[in-house]
Amino acid sequence: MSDSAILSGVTFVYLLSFLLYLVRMVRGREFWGSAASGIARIGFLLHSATLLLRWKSSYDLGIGHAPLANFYESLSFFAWAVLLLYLIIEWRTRSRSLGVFVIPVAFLLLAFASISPGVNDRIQPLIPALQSNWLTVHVLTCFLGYASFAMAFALGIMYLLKGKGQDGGKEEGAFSRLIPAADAVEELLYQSVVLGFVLLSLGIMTGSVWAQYAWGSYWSWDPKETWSLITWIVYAVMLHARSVRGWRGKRMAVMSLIGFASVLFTYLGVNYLDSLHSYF
Amino acid sequence: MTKTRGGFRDFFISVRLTIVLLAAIALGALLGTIIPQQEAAEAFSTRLHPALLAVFQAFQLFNVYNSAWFILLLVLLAVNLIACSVDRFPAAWRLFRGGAAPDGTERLADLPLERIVAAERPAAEEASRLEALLRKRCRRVQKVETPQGFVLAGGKGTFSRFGVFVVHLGVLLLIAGGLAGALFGVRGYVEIAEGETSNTLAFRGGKGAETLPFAIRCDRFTVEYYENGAPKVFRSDLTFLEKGKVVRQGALLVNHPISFGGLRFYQSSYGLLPGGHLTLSYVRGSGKINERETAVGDAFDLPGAEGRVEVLRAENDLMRMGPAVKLFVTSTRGNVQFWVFQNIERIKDANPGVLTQVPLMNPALFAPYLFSMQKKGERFYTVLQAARDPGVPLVAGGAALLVAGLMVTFFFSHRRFRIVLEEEKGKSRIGLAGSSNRDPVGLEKEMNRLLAEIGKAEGRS
Repeated sequence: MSDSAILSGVTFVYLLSFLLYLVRMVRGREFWGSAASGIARIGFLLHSATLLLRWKSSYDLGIGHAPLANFYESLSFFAWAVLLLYLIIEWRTRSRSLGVFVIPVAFLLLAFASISPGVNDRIQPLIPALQSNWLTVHVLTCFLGYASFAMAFALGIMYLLKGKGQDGGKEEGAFSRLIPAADAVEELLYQSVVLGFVLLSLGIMTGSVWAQYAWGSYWSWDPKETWSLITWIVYAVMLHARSVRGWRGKRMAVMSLIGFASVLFTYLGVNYLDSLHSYF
Repeated sequence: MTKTRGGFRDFFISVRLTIVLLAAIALGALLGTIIPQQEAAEAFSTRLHPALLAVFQAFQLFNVYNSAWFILLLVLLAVNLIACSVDRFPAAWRLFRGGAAPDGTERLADLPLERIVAAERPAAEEASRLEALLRKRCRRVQKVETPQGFVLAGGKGTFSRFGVFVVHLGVLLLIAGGLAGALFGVRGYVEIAEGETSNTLAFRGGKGAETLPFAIRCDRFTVEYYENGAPKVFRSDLTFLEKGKVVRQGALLVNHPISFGGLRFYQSSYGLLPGGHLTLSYVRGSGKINERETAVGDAFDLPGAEGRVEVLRAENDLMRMGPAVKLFVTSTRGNVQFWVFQNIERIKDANPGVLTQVPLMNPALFAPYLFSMQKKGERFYTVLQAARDPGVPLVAGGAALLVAGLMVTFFFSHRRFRIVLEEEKGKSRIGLAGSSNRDPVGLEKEMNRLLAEIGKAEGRS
């Protein structure tokens, strides 16, 4: 069975997990939560297996490289990183409330990879410019960073929903009651942004080193480079506004949404502009 | 912050300015990604209304990243960073040197009950034990005597407050390196045909050329392909010559630059030299193959006056798919145009169905004739990019500082502890307070551990 066939299956495992997390939030019973979380873990293990399988297959084809070399592979790795970070958070905080906001992100990424006709799922050999170890480090750091920002985005939505649930003055609904205290959500949101920011900085840096070797210029204002800088600035502003001007709560939540919109444009929107990064 | 300052200085030390500048830089960068820049701008600018074009040119919107206003924004950001850092550094330094000494007004009554433990011994004895305990975590511990007992103060991770200065120094070096590269850097191309030697460095953007003090010979240029038609290797075998003598030989590949004579050379592109001759073949059904040496502008009649063929264009590497000629066939059945590729078999293998999807690439479009073409006796030329950028060490250092500073800032925190001891009838009560510049969860955990250690030792009740 090919890795891409298994990955299509994983897409539905994540969908199932999302639906179970949703049932938990609506019915308020932890039974659905443990089922959702168990399914998510199974999905994650299968997903990890597809990455390894694809890696191995590329060697069998004689064009061995880490499965981080085209758009399809980056979508899959992005979704994998989202799951990885989410499962770590679930384990550390012992709370399953974030699942219903995060798992759909991973599901949509994989659905896009599996269904969109424009995404080529074949293992492709590396063209000369991509034949560099910096490729692996660059993609790894960037997408782990994107996944952290996805986490902050989900936490931002969660924070805003919690705020909304409390505003009405009525008794909190089951959905909002299951969201942890606003302080805890906010702290986690901040930490996700910090992690994402450090990883994005590393990602831009490793990309520059690579560009310096491959194209003779560490920075060439390619649209993707430029947009990664814009994203970096959005989060830099967010962090400064928090530490120096004391922004908290709703403002940080809104910034995490703006930041993630910028991440998505850097990742997907830029492809509609002319770019060196057309492989991803 | 209570001192009154000049408006100028106030302006430059404000973080609001930083945020405005960062937003402006982001916006400028964004404009550069949606407006075609430099060479790409020419076609676009002809479609603009003249008044709008004048505005675009006045604001250098076709060259945003080198425009005066964009560089001004970067310089202002640099000034702002320096001003902020100079303004804030002394306070951080004082914290690092002295720490904030307890002033003796801390009282147990101000602390939450769960942060207070009782001990059997008098405050003075407990204080010396706790001082040793605190010293295990904190670089500097201060003890103050109060009417009720003692207050101990200690801090750790003060260095994390310097992380932000390191990050900002990194950003300054990045800006400085970028400007140094733009002002003093050299970037250009050396184009060499196989078997020939060149010492001319043509600057990018057609801004003149420089004669190098050495020469480069291209012994051979190779391009290899994978089975699917994607390129696998671009390789120039080069020889560097000084005064006619061979100084160095090496293979230049993408991702493997060669440094020589203060310049770094990169494999940039390649092409086929005009020259060689073009052969066009055509066959009617399963008939006899006709061959004809041809060139652009050549026109001939097909046998039996079925049509007239004209060669419109000839390309050495059309859309990265190799040599091709464009034919125009006029006949009583109508006129057709199509490309004939030399590598049509490989193109078909790599893109099944392409000939039906893109009839313009079908060499059999004028049925029942099938055309093919071949180039013979041709040579490659290679294009090397050459760069000398004195800003690179600054940029590399800046990037390293930036990342190191971020790690220090975000993965460590400055935690301060206060232990308040109050004596009552020969016994003491001990309270713990703490604060941190970030990571409240981590602080909470550490305070719980510390409180356990405080209560554990002796005589707790």
